[in-house]
Amino acid sequence: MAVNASYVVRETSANLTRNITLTVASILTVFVTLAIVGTIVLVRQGAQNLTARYQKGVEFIVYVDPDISEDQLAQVRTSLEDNPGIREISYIDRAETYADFKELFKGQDTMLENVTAEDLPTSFRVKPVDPSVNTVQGLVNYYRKQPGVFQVTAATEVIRQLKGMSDFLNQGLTVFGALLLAASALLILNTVRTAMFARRREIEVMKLVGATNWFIRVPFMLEGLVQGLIGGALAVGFVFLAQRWIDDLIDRGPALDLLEPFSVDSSDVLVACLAVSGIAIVLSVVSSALATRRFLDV
Amino acid sequence: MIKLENVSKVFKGDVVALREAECEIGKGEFVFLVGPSGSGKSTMIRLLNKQEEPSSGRIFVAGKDIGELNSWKVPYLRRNIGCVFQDYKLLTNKTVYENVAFALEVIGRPRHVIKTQVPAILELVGLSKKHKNYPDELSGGEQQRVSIARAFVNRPLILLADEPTGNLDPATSVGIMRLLDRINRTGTTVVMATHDRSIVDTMRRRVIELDRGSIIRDQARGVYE
Repeated sequence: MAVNASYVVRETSANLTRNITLTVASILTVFVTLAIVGTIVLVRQGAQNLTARYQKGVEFIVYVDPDISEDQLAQVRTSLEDNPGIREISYIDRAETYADFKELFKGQDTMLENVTAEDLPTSFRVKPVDPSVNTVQGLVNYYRKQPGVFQVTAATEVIRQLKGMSDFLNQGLTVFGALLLAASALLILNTVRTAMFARRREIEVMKLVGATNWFIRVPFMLEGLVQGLIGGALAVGFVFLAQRWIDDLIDRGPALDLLEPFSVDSSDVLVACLAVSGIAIVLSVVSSALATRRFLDV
Repeated sequence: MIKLENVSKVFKGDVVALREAECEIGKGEFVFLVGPSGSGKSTMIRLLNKQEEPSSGRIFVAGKDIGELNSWKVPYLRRNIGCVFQDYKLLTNKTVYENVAFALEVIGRPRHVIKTQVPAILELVGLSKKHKNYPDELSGGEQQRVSIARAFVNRPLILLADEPTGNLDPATSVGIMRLLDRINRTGTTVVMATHDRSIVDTMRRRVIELDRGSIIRDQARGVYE
């Protein structure tokens, strides 16, 4: 079967322009769908980066009572230093704590006026030998019960919550994305089918004079593929923008420092782009193949 | 060239379009299928190029049982069978030339073949001067000539015509019949379903008469009834 290239180009572009509104509608739907799918992939990568980072480098902070005596403080210090599960500690004294506090509540004058250095608990920053969440949680629970300890905070709970949140987000977005993918597929299918319906007389003649099914089908399948590819290309562009936005958002304020490891690097973007392009191709080929099948039944 | 062995076609609801049809048509024959509407003429034609499948029986075209043909081979069968219809089935957005060229283009014929074959066949059907016109600028007879040109441009072994003169006045019909006769004399087997008594009676070719799906007469050099 010799499919003439100029014939295919001519017919495909005729199909695409014949019903321009539908073509644009399906390209836009593919674009929006794949942009969302791409963002889902990025967010998923980011969440993975985030939890991986925290799971590796977890520290915890032991706050001592603000009115602790020197003896008690020394006891807490020794108990931390002697613990074989702890690699390194550093003491944050009153002045440093107050400096941090001023930084944290900058611009909130009532807080700054009413809180003095003496009101704040000093603390030990503790780095455990084994940074896994469970070990850290064990240490945290142990030091909470020690005398002179005001409070122990660790990122473990935050991580757990973050993970739970990102899992929830992932699942929700995945369902949403799947529904959108189905909508895009149906729209491409419908557009291709409309194009075939508009040309049913030609198709009838083609079949009567002995054109092969593939010959008839190729321009219509290409029509679907072109829609998928344009939508996919736009979505790839969007994924790059999305990465910029995520980075900008994280850089914007110190409040989001916690999310620093959430940032995605170029390999994550590559994964997202590959996913988007792959889905675009599969989506459009499958739906246009389905669309062209029924019409060609003899 | 064509052989029907005990062929029946039953549509949904027990509508019998063709009942145990038996016949053999040799190469280069000209055959009229006659009978009232609904007698099975069109069904027989549609069975020959596999637009329909028989409910039972076997159909041979050029020695091959077309019931055993893979679906992907059907297009190649159809390249050997030209088709002409009562309603011409021309593409209104294409010129006369493009309509005929289309038939060659879609079976992958190279451009230089198309460039020589199409003018030659338009010459044969007498439409050389109108090759740039669109179908709706032509008379019914001229449109039917275009459709015959399209059916014959690939030099098929068989030409099927389903009431080709059904929409034409008697004078124009004579012209169309002359054309079909000319094509038949090149060795092409022609099978034509018709209601046109005067054409059948004038041409005196083989007549197969159908009634309610059954072949009731098969007569060489026959008349309409």
